[in-house]
Amino acid sequence: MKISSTSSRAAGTRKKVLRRAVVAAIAMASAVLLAACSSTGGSSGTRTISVWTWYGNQGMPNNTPLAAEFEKSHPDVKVNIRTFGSTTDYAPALAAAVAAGKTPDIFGPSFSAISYGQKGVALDVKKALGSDFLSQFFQADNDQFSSGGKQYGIGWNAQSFGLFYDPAVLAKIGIQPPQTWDDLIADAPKIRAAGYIPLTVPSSPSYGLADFVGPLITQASNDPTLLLKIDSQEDGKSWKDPAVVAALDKFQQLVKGGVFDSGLLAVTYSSAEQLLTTGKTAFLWDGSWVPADLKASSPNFKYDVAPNPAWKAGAKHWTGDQAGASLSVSATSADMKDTLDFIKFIYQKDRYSSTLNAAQAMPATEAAAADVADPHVKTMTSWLVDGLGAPHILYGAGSESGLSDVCVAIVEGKTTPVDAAASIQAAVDKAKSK
Amino acid sequence: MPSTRRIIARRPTREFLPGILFVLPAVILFIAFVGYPLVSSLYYSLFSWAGYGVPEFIGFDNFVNLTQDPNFQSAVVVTVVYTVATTILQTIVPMLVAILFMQKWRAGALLRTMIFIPSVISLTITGLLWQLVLQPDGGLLEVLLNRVGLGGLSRPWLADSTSVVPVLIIVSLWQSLGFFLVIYYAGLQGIDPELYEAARVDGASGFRLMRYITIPSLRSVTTLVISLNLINGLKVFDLIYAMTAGGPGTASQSLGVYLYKLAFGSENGASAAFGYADAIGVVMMIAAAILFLVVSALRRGRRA
Repeated sequence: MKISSTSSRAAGTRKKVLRRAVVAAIAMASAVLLAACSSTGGSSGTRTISVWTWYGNQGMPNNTPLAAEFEKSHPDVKVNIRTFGSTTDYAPALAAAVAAGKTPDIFGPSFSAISYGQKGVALDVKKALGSDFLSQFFQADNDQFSSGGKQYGIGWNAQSFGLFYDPAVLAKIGIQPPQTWDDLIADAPKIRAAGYIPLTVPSSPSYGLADFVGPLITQASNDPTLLLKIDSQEDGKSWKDPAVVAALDKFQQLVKGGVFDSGLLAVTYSSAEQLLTTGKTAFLWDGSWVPADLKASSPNFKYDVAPNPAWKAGAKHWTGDQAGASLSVSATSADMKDTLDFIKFIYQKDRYSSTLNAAQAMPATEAAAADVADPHVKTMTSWLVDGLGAPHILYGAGSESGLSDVCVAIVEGKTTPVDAAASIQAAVDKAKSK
Repeated sequence: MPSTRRIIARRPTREFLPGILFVLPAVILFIAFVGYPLVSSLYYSLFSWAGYGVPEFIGFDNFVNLTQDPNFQSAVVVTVVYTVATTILQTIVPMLVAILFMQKWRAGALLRTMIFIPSVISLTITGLLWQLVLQPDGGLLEVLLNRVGLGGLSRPWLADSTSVVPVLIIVSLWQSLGFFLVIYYAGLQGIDPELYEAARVDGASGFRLMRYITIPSLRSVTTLVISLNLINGLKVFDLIYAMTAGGPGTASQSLGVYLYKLAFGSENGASAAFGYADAIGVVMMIAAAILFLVVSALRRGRRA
């Protein structure tokens, strides 16, 4: 009996404990759910606009003063800046937010501005901000986000590409920056004999090679609209175009001419800069973000930058243009007026110039181009002002990977320019089915 | 009697309730973060979808297209080679090293710690470190080879399509050796010493002890290590993405890297190919399930 009685009491106690545990668990779960469902809008009456980018070193860090300045002049608005560390982190987060219908009010659209616009995710800024506002941007930076008379993004940073070099190294070799690609091929043996790599191009990831070859297509055709048409497969243009074959042929000549190092395909963006600063390469072909990188990594390094070599003597020094960092506005922003006000606010000439100068970044507006402080960035911006910008960012399905892959195959000696051009078109045709 | 029957009928619920409550959070989390995404992936693999906008139902077209996609086919080859090689190496080498460490070396603990350290470094950091080591101009490996007069062996390891995957496999072994070593070391310590003593009495020694006692005794540990390696190999992404981003070209592009580029990168241009990427995810899931079933069946077969 005693045993039975104890067992019964124990069972009763266990039941009580269990009940309490269940009640506590339900209470905790409810609290968590309520917290999750509650508004995060802050104090009553405050409106919040969210800005998502990965432009931490391009003038939009998490602690950018732009937010505080805007909040000061708009006391009812809170600007929530979220700057991701890299596109690798950013892309999945943005994709999830867009899929969930929680698109940030302002966001870096990466490659997808037009696609977002056509699917109702990104706002037509031409209608919302007006042509006058958009006219301050470089034309190429507007064109890259335009389709069907609408525009779904604006440039934050423009970019151009050139040859970075250490003047002391060039003096030691006894050469000048090449005016044409053929000049560089001719100088290559002399540069190699002096113990330097003639030209380094960031090629890992291999889309760096697409950036390099894209403007060659403009150089071959002298038509800055051709690559855009090929990329979008408009006007009957395809990747089999003679200008593409000629550009790939020039690239192959550079490879065969010993212009690149044998390890070209493993050269990352950071290692390319190291090859320049450690005196291993005569020239680094890279973009207008290099001055900011070098200031951070090698502040005492003395260098200069020359224009992209031309197709032939006397021809234009076409260089890769377009905005690598850009902003789109959510078409479903709950606070459209404040969102558009913030856009106009950050692009006010002096504010925009000082923001980008602080980051040593290239502005996307012609007005700010005059205010660029860094001498190298100023030089590279002047090429765009002079109308030497050529498209290099590819938006068409399969274009970028197709071009990158054949460039790798050319470096490896596995294809010819004609076959390579046909391969890109085949890759594009295949990609359309995905 | 009716009351007795009622008690019998109710007992299971009362007995199982605490268990159910304890596993409920895990079940909810599993459904939210594994079950739902899994079903969702299966669903969207039947659509052409960019991750936004209205998905277009295309049946099994994504799977049909996969069979004709050269990038997918090369990614399958890379993934299979990587998975098979890492599974073999990362099963055998840690086992042998663990057996060596059982010999009570004076600096054994220190060496074990040193070997384990890479396991606590993230794969992304591991990738970036090795990228610096293998850099073609001035990388640590090149400098070391030059110093010892073997500069002729130096080559652009990550730039060469033939050497890039073997290098990734070696880096993976370096990174995971410590982790699997610890598992094997724990398994070895669980073997009854009397088994060895009895075998020695019977005249066994050295290799025969390992062949007939150590390896059979580690069967369940080995099955675990093989399973982990197969799964890790199939879904490999971060190490490759950090070191080569799948390059040069597509020479080291695994299924995970290709999937990521389709869904979140610029592989498909302006419009992401979420549905197509989902189809790849489904193929990977089916492959993982088949491998798991095969390993489990082998394990059951051996037990029987």
